[in-house]
Amino acid sequence: MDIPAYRKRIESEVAKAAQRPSRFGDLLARSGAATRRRPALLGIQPVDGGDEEAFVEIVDDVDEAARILELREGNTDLRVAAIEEVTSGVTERAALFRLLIERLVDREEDISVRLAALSGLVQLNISAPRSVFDRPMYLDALRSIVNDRDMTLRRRVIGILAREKDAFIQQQLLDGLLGRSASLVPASKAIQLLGYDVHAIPTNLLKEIVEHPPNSAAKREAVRLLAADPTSAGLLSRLLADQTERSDVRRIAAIGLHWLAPAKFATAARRIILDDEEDPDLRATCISALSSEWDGLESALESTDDVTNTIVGLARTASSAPLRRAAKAYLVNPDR
Amino acid sequence: MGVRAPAGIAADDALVELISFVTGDHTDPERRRALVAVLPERHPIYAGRSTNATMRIRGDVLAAFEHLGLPDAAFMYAIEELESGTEAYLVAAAAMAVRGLDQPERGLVPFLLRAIDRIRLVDDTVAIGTVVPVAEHPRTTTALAEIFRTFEWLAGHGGAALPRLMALRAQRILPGDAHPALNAAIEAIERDSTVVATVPVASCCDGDEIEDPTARGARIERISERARTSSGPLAGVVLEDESAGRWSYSEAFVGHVTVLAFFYTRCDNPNKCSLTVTKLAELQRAISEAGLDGIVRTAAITYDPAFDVPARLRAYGAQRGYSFGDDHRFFRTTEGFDLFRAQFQLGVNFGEATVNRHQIELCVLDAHGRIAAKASRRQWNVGDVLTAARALMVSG
Repeated sequence: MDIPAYRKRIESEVAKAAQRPSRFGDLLARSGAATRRRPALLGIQPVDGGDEEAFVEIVDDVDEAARILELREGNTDLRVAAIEEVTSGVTERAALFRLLIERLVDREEDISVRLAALSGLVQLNISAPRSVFDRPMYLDALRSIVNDRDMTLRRRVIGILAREKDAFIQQQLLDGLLGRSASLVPASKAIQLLGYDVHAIPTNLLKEIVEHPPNSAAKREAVRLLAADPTSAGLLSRLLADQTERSDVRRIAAIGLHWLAPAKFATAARRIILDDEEDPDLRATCISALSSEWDGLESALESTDDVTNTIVGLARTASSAPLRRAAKAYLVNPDR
Repeated sequence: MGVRAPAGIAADDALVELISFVTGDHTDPERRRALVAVLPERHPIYAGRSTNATMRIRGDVLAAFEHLGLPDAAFMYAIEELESGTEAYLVAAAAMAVRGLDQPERGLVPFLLRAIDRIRLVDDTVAIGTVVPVAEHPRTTTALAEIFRTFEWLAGHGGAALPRLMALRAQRILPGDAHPALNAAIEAIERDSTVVATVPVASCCDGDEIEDPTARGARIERISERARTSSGPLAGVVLEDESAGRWSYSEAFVGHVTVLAFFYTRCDNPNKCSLTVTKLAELQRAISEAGLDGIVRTAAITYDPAFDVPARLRAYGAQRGYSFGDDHRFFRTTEGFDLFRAQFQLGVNFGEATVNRHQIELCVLDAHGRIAAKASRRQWNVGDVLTAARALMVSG
């Protein structure tokens, strides 16, 4: 690769992109909605004296975008583009951060605009200096809309808070699972989201869900999360061994047991791999897991020859394609 | 529709009662004593609770000392949060707690400054005393706001912080909402010319180490020969090292001076377990440079023995620069963890899945496996620990 030429090409493309009008600028020009003055709502510009106190001069596209959002002008496309324009300007003008927050939490605002505001804020959380990104304000705004009627927005907001290990959303999700309050998201999703924080996993509740699941999806997620709980190794073993259990639950139990108790898993996996009557997808999962646990297998089992011979056979003749693939991958694994 | 809750899951009533007690009558002096008793991590009130619930209890207790007065017995808990805490709720509460001291103390300055640097990236709105988290509350604050209010309370005693606070203001690296409290702090310090900070900024507030001008919490507590508890009761403890080797307590720790740290691999506070193990690796190098290889050992024991299997112990140490060998091992207990926990009075408690709260702690064991020195809550310093270990080589 010619590095200098590549660098030159990239620099040229960046320069060209910088000269192109932004999507907002383009839409604004076509809409004819551009003006020269905007309300001095955010104090972005110094206010002139006299009867012009209430308005300030529009300086650039960011200003114009702020005006459109403040006055709720323009169609959805223009307003979404305005959000993107304002997001790009936040680093220079901290007051625009509050404008994004206001658009996000305004339940009367078009959902596309609100989602764009959320995307902008998520981006700024990574890229903007803390002098402009007010994290407490951001988190408070998210918390205020966890019960939003738009499910796409709701799920994104709850997902963000869950990844922040937010105590409020953890409590809300738990209350929903326990029936103490209306569920914000389906049980399976609530369980999945609680899993972002190992210190918040309600293992007793999850075990209850495994025994008395509201639905199969919730049971699957509960089994998945119990891989974080050492006291659940016995439960996972039981699920894995239970041939009357759903295949997907057994596969998740296998993965969880492999993580939690590798030696116990190796013993169970051996039996499953050797049993031609067993579920082929489960056999494939066990073989794949053992690919990364060769040392554990050797230490857990007296002999691995029968397992290897079986896998060789499966690689050649298994009728299930996933099982054949798993067997072949196992045999060519250089780490084995 | 909710699932059927298993017995014991609805612990909210007990939590509500505790928080009501914590935030109730502030004039009752007995309340202060009762609250101090709840602070140690091993208190049963925390058993089985999530980390967030534990955090709220501890935060509400600490914050109550602002009005009750902060006793000596609670002081180090507040300092610990200011020095190492990463949760806005607890850092805010700690900043409030120290305002309960009888007098402003300039020794607080470095801890408060360190807290600003750490918490400004993870600050959050907190509503102390609300039992469970709420989306909106009429009385909220932030960790930064409380830290600045404490500087305002310190007034002239916070003089050594003035250059740093003014730099924060000038550099505008804090969100706008934090500036009114910051400005109030600066003005209070500038207005109070009655106390002049005599400690130069360079010796108080820079670098990785924080001196302790308050002299309340020694970094390393030495335990006299007479006062050391026999390790005999630990005969029933069985350990497994990072190579799956089995050890009794005496096999692992009797016969050599050992620096023993505590950690667990799922700790999410980088200033606690991860930093502890990283410093343990530094201590290894210091031991070697001091020509003490084979004489002073290092070890670490996990709080989470069921999860931290040998492969995890090894990976965690290796990733932080720790070198394993005959004199340097990580362990988990395979039998007798409760006995070990009681004998060492470990500052740890457990939620449903794992540790919910623990302190920073490290012991120096003498050649009989007895605790001869202990570092708790404060960030320990490699040099101090090595000095404590050397002292044992001389005195036994």
